[in-house]
Amino acid sequence: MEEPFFFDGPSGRLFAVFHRPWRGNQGQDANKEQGEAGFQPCSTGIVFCSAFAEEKLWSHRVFVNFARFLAAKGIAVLRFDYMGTGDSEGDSEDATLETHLTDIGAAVEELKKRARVRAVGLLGLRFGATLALLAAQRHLADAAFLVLWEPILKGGEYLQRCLRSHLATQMAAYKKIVKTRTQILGDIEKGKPANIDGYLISSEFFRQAHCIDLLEGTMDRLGPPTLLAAIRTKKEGADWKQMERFFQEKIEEAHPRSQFVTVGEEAFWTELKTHYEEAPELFERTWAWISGYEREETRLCLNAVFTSDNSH
Amino acid sequence: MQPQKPTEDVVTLTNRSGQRLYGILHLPCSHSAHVGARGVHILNPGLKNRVAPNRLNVKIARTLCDLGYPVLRSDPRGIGDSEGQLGNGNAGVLDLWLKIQKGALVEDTLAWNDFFSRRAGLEGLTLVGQCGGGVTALLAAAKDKRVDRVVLIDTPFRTVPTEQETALISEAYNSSGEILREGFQNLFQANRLRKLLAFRVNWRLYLRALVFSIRDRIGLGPESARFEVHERFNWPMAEAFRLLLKRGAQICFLYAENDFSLKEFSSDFHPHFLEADIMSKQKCRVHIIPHANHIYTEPEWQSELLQQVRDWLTVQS
Repeated sequence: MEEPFFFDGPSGRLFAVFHRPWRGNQGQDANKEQGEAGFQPCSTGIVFCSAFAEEKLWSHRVFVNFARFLAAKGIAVLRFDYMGTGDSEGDSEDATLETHLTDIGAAVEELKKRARVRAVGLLGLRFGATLALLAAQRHLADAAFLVLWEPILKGGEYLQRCLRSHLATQMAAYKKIVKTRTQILGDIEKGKPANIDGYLISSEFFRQAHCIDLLEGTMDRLGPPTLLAAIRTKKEGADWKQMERFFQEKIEEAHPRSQFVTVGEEAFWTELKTHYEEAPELFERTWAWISGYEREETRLCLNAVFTSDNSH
Repeated sequence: MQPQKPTEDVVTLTNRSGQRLYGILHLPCSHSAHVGARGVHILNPGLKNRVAPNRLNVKIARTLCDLGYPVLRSDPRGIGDSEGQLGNGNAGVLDLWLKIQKGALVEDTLAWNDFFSRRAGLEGLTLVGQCGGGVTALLAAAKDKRVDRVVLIDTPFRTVPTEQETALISEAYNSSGEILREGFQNLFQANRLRKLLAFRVNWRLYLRALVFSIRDRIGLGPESARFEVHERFNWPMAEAFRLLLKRGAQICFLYAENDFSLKEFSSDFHPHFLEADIMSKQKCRVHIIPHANHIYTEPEWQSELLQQVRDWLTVQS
């Protein structure tokens, strides 16, 4: 069962879809397995953090179908749109990195309220994965675990690629560069919004995102267990090596359950000749990791409950 | 008591296949007197959802709602958050576009029209569609008498290259006389007659040629004078266009100057169905947005698109 709704976020009304969990082919409502009022069930929920700009649009169906996949496995899922994106209130040029991060925090709280789950993880794709990671690290979202699909590790490099795309669009449209990269960056310095792939973003957002460097920056080792999935058909390439290095330096030793995987799927967040509804290998590998986490946490939870009962 | 500002709410409906479809309903804080009970239904573009690239549909919806129009942005089956699938799993984009161009999303669009009309108490409907959404808008509008205005943005008039059947239709339209003559002659040649009776000939071609020939003679065909169009020209769209005009509907064609569909429109549709017909010219408007691309990546292109839609609807009201 899916429930679309608007909820009050820190910066305005946010659109969301709650995927209520159910188990197996019997279609049983997993919520009915929850105990009586006052008892916190040992169940898990996930908030999906979507990609940026057109990548969000291209990857939408994969997100929708993975949410349905997880709900059928008994996991509560909340998908939502940040302020100024999708169906949510506001305009893109009013959003900042901070508003996105606090929106994630609000989404986590909303999921806890609706699903009565004990633990909420964050799953992000591309820049959404970067935001999920930052939200967890800055304690703006209470994340029990992280699933990072092809995260953007260097915000500056990513934005420069977007700007290059914008310059190419100018060439195609006007047969010349109307506004150079230097001019665009100059506008940003003056506080004007920047056009990134057709989306106006505030100069503040641009500056904040540009400063993100998860690889070389002084980010502490991540606490929660983390699955980092590199999505590509070939392992080689600078991006893959960066992700592997990031995992080894910042994630691997922080938690024994953390894992780095390479999944052979196409870049479904881009324009392809195939319309992606699902990413089967990515779904299975991610679910295998989440279910392992869930089993471990359930065991710990039940142990805690049993110990608590015995002490009374 | 009237709400203080426009509202946006999630709406859902279950289509005839039992699939749950999602949409966003924008209701103005008051209906402007000159607008009356008219609603605008904005369709999703092609395979993308109700938000559209660069959030274009959201911007159009909020702009029109501020003018006093109730607006619906909808997702049909297999698109956005809606249930169902257009293809089987991960399908080729061309195959799915072809399905849309042949009317796969018309039924859901009509269901949304019903829902919207009831929910907002509408007397008239305007459909707005971009790209594949424009194709669906035109085909659906022809089947729904409530629709008296259509805005088509960057709407292609040729089917995608995988289409063999459209070539068949085009061949039948353009050469019906020769095809029927050839078929008649086949009846008097034993080996060809055997093939005919054993269904080892292209019966569909002969049947279409016969239908088109009859329709042409009784004045229901597209044109009595044949003209050259591309072999993949989407004839059902031309038929839908004619039906709408006969009903007195008005149509606005908006194109981005750098969009591929403008070339198709300019060579296949405009000269034969707009320029050649006085009634078409009176009831239709064509505007090209300079330098714009298919997804309107520059703010000035988006602004002009919004202004064109707003101004045209205001004039029609």
